[in-house]
This record gives sequence, C-alpha cells and structure tokens, in this order.
Amino acid sequence: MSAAAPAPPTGESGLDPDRSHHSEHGDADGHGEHAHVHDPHSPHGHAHHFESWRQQFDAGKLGMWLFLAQEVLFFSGLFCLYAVYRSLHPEVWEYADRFLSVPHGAFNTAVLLFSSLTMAWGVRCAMLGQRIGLTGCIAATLFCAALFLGVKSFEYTEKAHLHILWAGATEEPVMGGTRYDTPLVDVTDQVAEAEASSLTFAERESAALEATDVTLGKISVGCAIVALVLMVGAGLCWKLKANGWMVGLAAGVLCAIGMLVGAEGSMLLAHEMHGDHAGGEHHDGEAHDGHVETAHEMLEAESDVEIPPDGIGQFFSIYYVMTGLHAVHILAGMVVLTWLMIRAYRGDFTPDYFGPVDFVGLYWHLVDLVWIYLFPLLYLIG
Amino acid sequence: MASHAEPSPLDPHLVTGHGHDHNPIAHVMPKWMLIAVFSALLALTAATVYFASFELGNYEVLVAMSIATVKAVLVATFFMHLKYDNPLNAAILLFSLIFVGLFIGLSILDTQSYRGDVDEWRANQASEAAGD
Repeated sequence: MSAAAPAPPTGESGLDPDRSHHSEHGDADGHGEHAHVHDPHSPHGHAHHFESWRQQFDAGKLGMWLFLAQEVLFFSGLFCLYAVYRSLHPEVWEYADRFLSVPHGAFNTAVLLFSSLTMAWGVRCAMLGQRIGLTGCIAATLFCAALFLGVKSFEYTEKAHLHILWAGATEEPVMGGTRYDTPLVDVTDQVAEAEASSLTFAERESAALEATDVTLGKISVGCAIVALVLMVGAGLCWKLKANGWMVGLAAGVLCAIGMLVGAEGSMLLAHEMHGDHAGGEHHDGEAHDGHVETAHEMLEAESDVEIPPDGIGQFFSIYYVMTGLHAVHILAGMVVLTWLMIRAYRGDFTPDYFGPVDFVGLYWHLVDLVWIYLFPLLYLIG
Repeated sequence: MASHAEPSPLDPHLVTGHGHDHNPIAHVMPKWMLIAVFSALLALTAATVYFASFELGNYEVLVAMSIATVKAVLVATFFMHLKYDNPLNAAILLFSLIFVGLFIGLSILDTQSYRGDVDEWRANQASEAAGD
C-alpha cells in the first residue's frame, strides 16, 4: 500500500532553515541527489532500501502501529483481571472508592491530556521544520510527565502510610480454603482493634497525611539537589559547547523540578481537602481546627463503622499493578523524550525526516489513552 | 510559520502547496484543531467527574465508559492522525480492540456462568463456620 503511494518529489531544498548546505543541491535532480547518500543512519537521506522519504515514514509508522496494537493487547490482560474481579466482588469497589482522591486523579488526567496536546503540537512543529518550537514542545511534554509522576508518588506514599498495600502485604494471606473457616473471628479482631485504637478514619488519615508530608519533604529535597547538580552540569556543558549533553541535563532538571512540583502541589491539594489538619500545630488556629475536625469526624463516623470487605487487598493489588505498569510506560516515554529533545535541539529533524518525533508521539498518545480509561475505572466508579 | 526560512521559489511544494502549513510527506494538523480537541477532552473529563457525583447505579459504569470512549476516539482520530492516515493503521488498532473485546467479553461470560455455584459454595462455607 505504502509502496503504491505515489512518491512525491522530495527535493531537500528550501524547506529546512537549519541546513543551509541543502541549498547547494537546490537545483539538482532529486534522485540523483539521493543516489550518493546510502547511510541509513544519516538524517540527510532516507535509507537506501526505501523509495522515498514518504515510503520510509509510512513504513516506520506502520511498524509503530503494530507495536501499539501489541501494547493494547498487553494492557488488556490487566483490564480483563479488573473486569472479572469487579464482576465477582462489586462490594469491594464500593468500599475502596474512599481511598482514591478524585481531585488528584482528575488533575493528573488534565496533565496527561495537556502533555498529549504539546506532543501533537511538537509533531506539527517538526513537520514544519521549526526546531526551537519542537524542542520546547518536547520539553513541555517531559515536564508534564514528571508532574504526573510527582502526583503519583504522593498518592503511593500516602497509601503506604495508611498501610494500604497490595494483598498479603499487611495481613495474613487468606487463601486455600482457610478463608471461609473463620470469617467471624477475623471481623471481631478488626472491630476490637478499631475500638482499642479509638481512632476515626479521619484521624488515621490525617496522621498518614502528616507522615506523607515528612516523606515527601525528603523526596522534594532530593529532587531539588538533583535539579541543582544537573543545572550546574548543564551550565558547564554549555560553556564547553557540548550542546547534546547540555540539553540532556536540562531535560533532567525539568524532570526533577516536575517531580518536586507534582509532589508538593498534591500535598497542598490534600491539605486543602482535609481542612488542613497539619495546621493543628499552630495553636492560634486550634479552636477553628477543632471545629473543622468534628465536622469531619461526624461525616466519617458512618463510614468508620463499616468493616473492610474480604479481598480489599486484591483491589489494591489491581490498583498498584495497573497504575504501576502505566507509570513504567511514562518512565520509558520520558527516557525516549529526552533522547528526542537532544536530537531535536541538534537539528536532526527536517520536514522530510521527522519519523521519530511522530512515532514517539503515537506512543505517548497511547499512554494517555490507557490513563483515560484507568481514571474513571479506578477513581470514579465505586 | 514565522520561523520558516525564506522559501526557495523553485521548491515545488511551496509553489503548489496549500499555504504555509504544508509538509511534503504528511498532513499537518491545524492549530485550531489541536486546541479544539484538547478543550473537548478537558470538558469531557470535567463531565465524567461531575456525573460520578450522582448515584446512577448500574448506569454509572456505562456513562463513565461512554465518556472515556469518546475521549479515546478524539485522541486517536486527531492527536494520532488516524483521520488523515493510511486506513491500514486504523484497521490495525480496530482489530486489536476487537480482540480485546472478545478476550474480556468471553472472560466475563465465563465468570458469570459459574457465579451461582461459587456463591452457593461460599454460603455453605460461611454457614458451616458459623455452625461450628
């Protein structure tokens, strides 16, 4: 199909402002010009086994779509697990809903959608030969990716402090027929525990939030140090005229700052949502805080009576493995985006040769697509 | 675009092309279209969060998944260029989605067909445990 597509005349002249040497060939016959460029790794000519730039691009795109089809099938195994488990244990979903923060999830959705916009814009810039626009768009995409992971790190940390982990992490595994032998004993244990600790859900949550604040504070300091070191490195590389290294290190700075902003921003959002319990240390605000807390306790009192259903751990196993696999895809995307940013700044991409930008863009949109389904499935439906 | 170098008058694409948003080998997405798609995606996200605040019962999954699918179609059609691409690429995606549908649909069908037996077994186990 792509071979049959008429290859447009792809003279290399004029379209690319960054490669002035192309103009030497401006009047040359297009095919004669390509005849002496056989290096498949050279961005100056399409690989010798392709008829034209267009065929090379279409072939690469077809390959990328085949990979994306594989990715869809790969993720579908987890969506199947979700569907089967949910259809068997709908009560677990109703209960688990309260542990996932919708504002954080919605914010992350918006961040990923925006990163998809900047990526699509970057492809547009690459097609039009706008080197700086392309580099900027990739940088924005990279920053959004780090922001997403920052919010995710807050969510994971808070759950870890609430001891909400995957099945079997915090309780004895109940498997192999023993599960239904002593269900009442299990329940009374939990009730006794809850009564002994005499903590409401809101109190436990605010304690976990304070602990999360401490942990994320350390992570933020780490991110800030990494950002500073990388910034100094980028400055040195700029002095040494090592532009590739400079852009790579600048990408690292963007990632570290994005993580920091994401983690601290979601911390602020969480304090906002919980009536700022961490502010309880300030004694002048104590009376006001006490009032807010009682209101919260009254609200949470009803839900606190509820006993976690059996198999709540499995919900979080599914939650962690689905969001975790998605986060691994984000990380892989960030590595590729850094590589792309270095190449874009170097001026590798021309209106004839922008395949890598387009293909990474397709991958990035697919990662976004997976999140478009994960957000309602995990955060909203309960 | 502003950063375009002065086009060579001999360049065939710029002479016969459709103005400045032109690429020799692929379709270029107009700016307004990118922004419109992004705005629609944001609006749909707000809508799905809004609808989730109601008690819709069994329709909750249906509504959320319909909105997510509209968003997915927008991303695939415009951000992923499928509208302007070789239809083969869209066919690859559609075929993979058909197989995902078969996979999940048949798994659910299978799970539901054994559900009565499982519930019964569970009830027996619980009553035995209570009796002991």
